Amino acid sequence: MKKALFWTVIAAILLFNYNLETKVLEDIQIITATGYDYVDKDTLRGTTDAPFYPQGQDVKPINASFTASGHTIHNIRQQNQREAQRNLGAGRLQSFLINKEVAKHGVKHLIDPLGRSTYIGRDIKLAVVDGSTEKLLTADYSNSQVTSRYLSDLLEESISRLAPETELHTFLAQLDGFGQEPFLPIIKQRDDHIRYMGLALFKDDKYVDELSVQDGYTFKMLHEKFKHGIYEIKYKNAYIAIENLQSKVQYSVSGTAAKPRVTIYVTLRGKVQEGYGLTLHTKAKVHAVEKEWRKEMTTKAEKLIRKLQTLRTDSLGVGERVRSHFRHFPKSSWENLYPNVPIHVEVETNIVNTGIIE
Amino acid sequence: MLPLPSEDKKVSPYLAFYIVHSMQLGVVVFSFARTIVKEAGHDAWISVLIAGAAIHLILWMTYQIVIKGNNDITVIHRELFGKWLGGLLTLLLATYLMVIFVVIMRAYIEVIQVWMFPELQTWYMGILLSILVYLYVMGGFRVIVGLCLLSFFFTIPLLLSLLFPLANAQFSYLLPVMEHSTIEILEGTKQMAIIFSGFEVILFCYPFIKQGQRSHKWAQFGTAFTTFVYLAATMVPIVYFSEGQLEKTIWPTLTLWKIVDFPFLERFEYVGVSIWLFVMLPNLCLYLWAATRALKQLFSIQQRKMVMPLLFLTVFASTLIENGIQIRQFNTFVDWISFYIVFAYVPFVYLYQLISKKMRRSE
Repeated sequence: MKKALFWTVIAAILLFNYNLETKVLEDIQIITATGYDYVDKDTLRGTTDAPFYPQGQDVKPINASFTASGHTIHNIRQQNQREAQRNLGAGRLQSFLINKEVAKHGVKHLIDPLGRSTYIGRDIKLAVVDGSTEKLLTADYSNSQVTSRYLSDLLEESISRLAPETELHTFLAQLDGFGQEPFLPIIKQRDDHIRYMGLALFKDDKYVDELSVQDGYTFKMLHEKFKHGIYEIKYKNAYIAIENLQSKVQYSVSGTAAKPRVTIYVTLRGKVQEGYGLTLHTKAKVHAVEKEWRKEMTTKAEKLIRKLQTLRTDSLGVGERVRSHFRHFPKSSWENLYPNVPIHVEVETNIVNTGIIE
Repeated sequence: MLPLPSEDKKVSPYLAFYIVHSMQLGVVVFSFARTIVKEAGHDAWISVLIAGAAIHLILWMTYQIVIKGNNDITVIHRELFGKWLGGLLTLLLATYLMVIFVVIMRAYIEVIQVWMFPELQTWYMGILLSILVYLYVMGGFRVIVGLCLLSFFFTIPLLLSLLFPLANAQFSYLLPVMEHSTIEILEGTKQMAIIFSGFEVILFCYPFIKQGQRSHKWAQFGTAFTTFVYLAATMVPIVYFSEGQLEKTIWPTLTLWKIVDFPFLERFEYVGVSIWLFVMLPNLCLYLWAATRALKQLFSIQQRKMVMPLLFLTVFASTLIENGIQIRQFNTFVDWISFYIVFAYVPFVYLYQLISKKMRRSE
């Protein structure tokens, strides 16, 4: 009897003190994309896309977006809540846009809540927007019902073939890590489409310059192993398109800690996709194309590296490679060392086949 | 002197593997990488290996103590130090076990509060956990060992989740090897060795293992496996996070799980935290069991009657620790005690026992 009473009391205490907030999927409006525009030094204008799914069968989602100004991301969200019909949930945020003007002033205060929050995944895509994020997020696009869906597909699927892989995790790691600087894709609203415009380079957390789409692709080649995309080269007054089957990159550091020398070895395997007026039936002719390909890629890559060195941004993470090569590498010296470090690119090209005709 | 437990209350020797392994693995797996990386940087994995080796040695000593005494530590205390001093030592050891109980419970509740339910009250979760612990401990030692075994099989799949982050890994973070000084690496070893603690409960549960001597081998295997798990859980965060980032991250392992992404499951860390209950539960149960066992041996009180009051005491104590900073301060304090229990107290008892046996023989 005593025992039963005891357990009843415990059960009652637990029952009446249960105060966890339940989150039912149908009662939440899920934020899928947000963007931030520059107002002044301390103020941001935030736009939130949270598509609304009306009740009923086979209904199409409605684009819903909310805009408000504030100093912090969470305050802006609270402001957005004033207009939204349901509780806004951030758990499935997929795209996070930063206006170029905001990026120029530094993004640390914007990125901090993303790294701190437990609700947000580490694989959300960040991008810099050339122009107003509000316009980009509130516009309707002819090729997609839901704006934020179009945006996340573009950032996750299409851009990853042209630009180096970026996500929240890489950005945070590059921001805090030694000898590497973050970079993000740039997108722009163009008529009724969103367009990938190149790569934004950051120094620490501030935007400094950008690379064109072509240079962004060369950057990808120097940054990571991948297998997508087309290289276009000019060979004997005609253009040839070579599909990238596999691209590998390896960094090799030599010299001393005070005078490091870096060589980047790139191995490319490709397949000729277009080459009108070109006959590639002999080994010598294939070799000639490979040589031309190698020459063009080396020139492009070295030009790109010179540009990064002049900007003093180590976006490729050369510093990290140099640090890991030398014991007790003086980290403070890297800042001054970097612009003058000799970095060479050795490209090895290999044409595996020429399609179904010679 | 209480009689040794009867044969039907004992477990097979190979189960020592699961007991030792599950006691060494705890809620600290979420956070330990950061503490040792703070000391030893990217050479932290060397610290893990050295600590593992040291623990093998201490475990051997622990086994020597109980094999020679052929009973649990309470009886050995009494034989070596007499009724009063020995009793006091046992009481201190039991208190230590209960303090660890509070630390583990509070740390796990904090993880739930930060990662899953910010509005969850400490006492609420404390009572829920206590009910679970109560049910298992009332089931007796054999049930708790069964829980250890289950926890092993529940957590093996979680090990595989460490493979996901490797896709984004940068292995140059591990180089150059041995860049940090020996002192820094040993400092990391000290931090790491504390994390391996928990195997001390062997001092209490040895009489409950059939053919105790044969279980020594299995206990050593258990430690070796724990070392492997911790090694993996250190290496992966080092290659995944950049150094500055890792030093900021309070729960590196949990943050790693944020990248694990299945088509049907967006957030793996919620699953991870939930499954981790089964890692933490055997720890809680065995600590409580050992503490009540010690009290039983000391004061001849029925073990069952002690469970409920102790649980209430721990829930009360854990509500007193209010925030993360206090938790980490308390943790550091308990770590300090753990370190001396493992590396000073156990060797001391071992040597004392060795000498007193020799003296007695020569007499």
